[in-house]
Amino acid sequence: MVRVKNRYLVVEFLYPTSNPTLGALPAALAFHGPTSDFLTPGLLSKSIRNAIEGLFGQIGLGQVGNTLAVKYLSTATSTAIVRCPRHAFRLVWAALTCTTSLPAPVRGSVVVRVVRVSGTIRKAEEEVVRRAKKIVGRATGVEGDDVVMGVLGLGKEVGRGGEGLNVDDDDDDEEDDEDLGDGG
Amino acid sequence: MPYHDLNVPFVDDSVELSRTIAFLAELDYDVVAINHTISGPIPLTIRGCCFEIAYAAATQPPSASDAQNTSASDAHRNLISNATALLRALRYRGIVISSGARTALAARAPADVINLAASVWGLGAERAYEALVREAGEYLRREEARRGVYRGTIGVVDGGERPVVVEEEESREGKKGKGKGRGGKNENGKREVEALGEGGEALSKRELKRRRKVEMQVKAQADKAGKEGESQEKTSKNGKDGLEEAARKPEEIQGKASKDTVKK
Repeated sequence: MVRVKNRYLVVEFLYPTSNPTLGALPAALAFHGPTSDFLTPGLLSKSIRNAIEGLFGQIGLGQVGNTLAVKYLSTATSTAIVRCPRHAFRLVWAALTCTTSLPAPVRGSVVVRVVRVSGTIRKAEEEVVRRAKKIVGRATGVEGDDVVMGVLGLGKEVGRGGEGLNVDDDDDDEEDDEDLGDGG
Repeated sequence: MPYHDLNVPFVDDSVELSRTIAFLAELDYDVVAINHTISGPIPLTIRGCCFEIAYAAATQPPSASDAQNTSASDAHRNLISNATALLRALRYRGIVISSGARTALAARAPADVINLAASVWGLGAERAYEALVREAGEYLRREEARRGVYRGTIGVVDGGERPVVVEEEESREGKKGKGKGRGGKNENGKREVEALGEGGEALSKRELKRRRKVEMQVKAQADKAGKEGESQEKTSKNGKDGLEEAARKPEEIQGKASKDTVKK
C-alpha cells in the first residue's frame, strides 16, 4: 500500500497595521507582533477550511480532506505548522495567502506568510526554532547566526527581512516513517 | 535574484505609504516602484510592453463600509477571470505581477505571490517566478535604455555642458542678501566686503550695483545679437567670441535636454 505523503507548511502571522510608534523597535520588527491567545489550533484549522472553501469550493475542500491539521501553534511568536496532503498543499497555501483576517473571537487584520514548505515535521520544527532565534537576535540588536546566508556565501545583511524563497520539496526522501507500520 | 514589485500606488498618506514600503522590505522585495502617474490616454502602439497583473484585489481586506463583503469577493472573482484570460491571450509570456497594494495589508511575500499565480491563475510556478524577477527586471532595463541611450549603443551620461559662471554668482549673491537675516555682517559686526576694486579698496554697495547693471546691459545686448543670427556675428568685430558661443550653444541645449530627461 502506498503511504499518504504530507507537506508541512511553516506559517507566520504578520501584523503590518501594528502601531508604528511602538518605540525603539525597528519597523521591521514591529510587524512580528504576538497573536491573541484566543487563537487555538482547532480554530485556526477551521478558518483555513473556510478559506479553502471560499476560494476553491467543495472540490478543494474535498481534496484537502481530513489531513489538514494545525500541528503546532505559538501565539507568542505568531508561528504555526500546518499539515496538509502533498497533492493539495498549493491549495492550502493559496487559501492562506488570500486570508485577510483571523477568525471570530480574535478578529484582527493579518498577513499570513508561508515561510517554508517541508516534507517532514522535524525540518519544519527546526525552521521554526531558527526563525525564532533570528527574531530574538534582531530584537536584541545582535544578528542571529544566519545559517542559510552563511552557506550561500552571502554574508550577513543587516536590516533585511528573512531570506529569499521558501525551500520547496526538498525533504521528500527522508520523511519520518511513522506511517510505515501498516505497509504490509 | 532581485524580487520586483513595480506597482505600489501612491497614497496621499505618508504614514501608510512608508508602512507599506517598510512591510515590502520586510517581505524581501528588492525593487519597489511607486506608481504616481496614472492619468493620460493609453498610447496607440503598445509594442514591446509588459502586461501587469496586480493581485491586491485578492489580498485586500474588505473595507469597513463593505459590510456584506460582496464587492471584495466580486473583485477577487474578476481578478481571477481577467488574469486567466490575459494569461491565455499572451500565451503565458510577458507578464509582470505586482501588488497594487494601497495598504500594507494587501502586500504578500514573493513566494506567496508565486504560489497564488501558480495555483489560482494557472500560471506555472516557474513562469510566475520569472514574472516577479526576470520580466520585471527586463522591463526596467528596457525602459532605462529607451530613455537614456542613443540608438541602443551610447548612453548619454553628461551633455558636456559648460558651467555658466556669471549667473551662478549672481544667484548666490542674491541668496546671501535675502537669507539668514545676518545683514551681511562679519564677526566684528562690520559690513562684509563683497568685492574689491582694481586698487584693492572696498567697493560700496552702490558702486557694485551700478557695475552689475552695466554688466547686465552688455550681456543683454550680446544675447540679442546672438539671437539675430550667427552668420552676422561671424563677420562682426568680435567674431571669435561669436564663433565660440555658436559652438557652445547647441551643446548647452543638448546638455540641458539630456539632464531634463534624466530628471524625468
